[in-house]
Amino acid sequence: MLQINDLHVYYGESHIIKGVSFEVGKAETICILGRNGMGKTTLIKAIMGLLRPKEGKITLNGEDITFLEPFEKINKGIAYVPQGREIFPYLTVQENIEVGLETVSEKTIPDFIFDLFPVLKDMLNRKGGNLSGGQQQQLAIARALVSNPKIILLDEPTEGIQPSIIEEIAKVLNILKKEKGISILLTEQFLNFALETSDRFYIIEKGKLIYETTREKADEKALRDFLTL
Amino acid sequence: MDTGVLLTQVFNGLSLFSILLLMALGLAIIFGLMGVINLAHGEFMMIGAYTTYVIEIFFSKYVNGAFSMYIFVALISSFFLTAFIGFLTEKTLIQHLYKRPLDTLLATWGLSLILQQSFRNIFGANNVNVDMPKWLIGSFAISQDFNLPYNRIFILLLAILCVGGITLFLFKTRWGLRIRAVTQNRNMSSALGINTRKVDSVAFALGSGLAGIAGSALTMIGSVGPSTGQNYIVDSFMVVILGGIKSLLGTILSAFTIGEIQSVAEFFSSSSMAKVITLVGIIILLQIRPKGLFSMRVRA
Repeated sequence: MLQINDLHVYYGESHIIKGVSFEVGKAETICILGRNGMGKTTLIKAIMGLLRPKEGKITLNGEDITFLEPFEKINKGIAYVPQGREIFPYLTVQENIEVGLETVSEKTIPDFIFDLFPVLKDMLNRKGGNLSGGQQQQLAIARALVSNPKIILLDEPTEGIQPSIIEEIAKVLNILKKEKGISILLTEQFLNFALETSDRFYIIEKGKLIYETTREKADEKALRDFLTL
Repeated sequence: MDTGVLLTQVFNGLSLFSILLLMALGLAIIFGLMGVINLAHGEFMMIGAYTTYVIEIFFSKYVNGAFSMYIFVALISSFFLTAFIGFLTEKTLIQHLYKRPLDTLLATWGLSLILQQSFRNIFGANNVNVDMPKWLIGSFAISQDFNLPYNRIFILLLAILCVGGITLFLFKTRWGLRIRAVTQNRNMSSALGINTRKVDSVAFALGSGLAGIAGSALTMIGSVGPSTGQNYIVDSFMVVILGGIKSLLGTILSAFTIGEIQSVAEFFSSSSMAKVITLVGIIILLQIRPKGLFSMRVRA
């Protein structure tokens, strides 16, 4: 459904993503694993439209979306949970989620959000900036989900988050895939979380995908070696 | 020293507060959202003032029967005309200089010079006077030397109404939510589906429209000329800086502080001394609170 073809992305003068190609299928979770500075965030930002690729093509269900603005990509069914969560600090939890409703006509928060994240229900009137990191991460996922995406991009969702909430987020991602048929593309450094949620894995190093495996065939030791090199 | 006269002066300071507040609200919305310092904001105010002037002449010549109501037509026209000119400015000038603050500064300064010259060409270099409707002339006497002039009461009510309207708009409407979201995080707002270009246009038009209302109000307390806007732009920026960008309450309190210091100091000394006292006060305050009177701290 989401196809990336020979993507090249520059950050200023430096060539960060050097010809990346892969595909995310329907209701499939793909994980891009890699250490810091290997291009994970740049790749996700380019797919989201926050950075302009220099070469290559991004298609969603056959439609070319390479150079659309971020707000146009939302309309095509892509949602984004950035690294560091980027919650609006001075908006309440409720308002944060309501911003996510921008592209849908119904402007009330659907109930399934509170089934997935019961903790948010009691915090609706608190400022987003006063939540803990884990709560903010759940809020960021909720905010992305209310636009009814076909595919959701998550950039290092476990970074700086306590283990109990990582566990909950893994559960939620699996529910989204199985029950709602949503495709998921995530980047990670934390292998356990990746193994728990993803169907296929890529290793990114210096802007190239250098290794590919599936959950069935995954050699945990080999993957770990790439991450700790 | 007469307390009555001093109280009158304090009340008159509220008119300056009202006008500065309307100006600063517009500036703060635009600066907070786009980081654009609009040096033509003072001339946008004058567009409102001259619109009021033209409408006053029109009413006194052609619809004299409804003259007492012209001020409402003038206020509404000032808002929409200035908002429209602000909208055009954003579309034609500011949008192309996005993320280039110094260029924007120069471009809006240039625009302010062009507008000032246009005012001179159209309305003449001399100040113009706008006649007020009868019901705004006179004053409400509390004691023999403490009077509340009707026109100044009207301006104060107008400012309160505008602040109330803006608060409702920012906190209760979808557009308000969009503006607040983009102000806090432009990229993320875009990545959630908000058309940030449209939000910029709407906010710039709104901020400009508020300047138009300020200009209309200004004609009720004095004569206005092509360069009157220049006297207000610096003070308005001081209000924004002192109030702390992104805080509505801060803007209100800081407009109040500056407006009152200025009028009361003027009463005790001269108007240039009043400016000096105000500036010294602000410099000291900013030493103590570098981010303005109100700056919130949360985990971002």
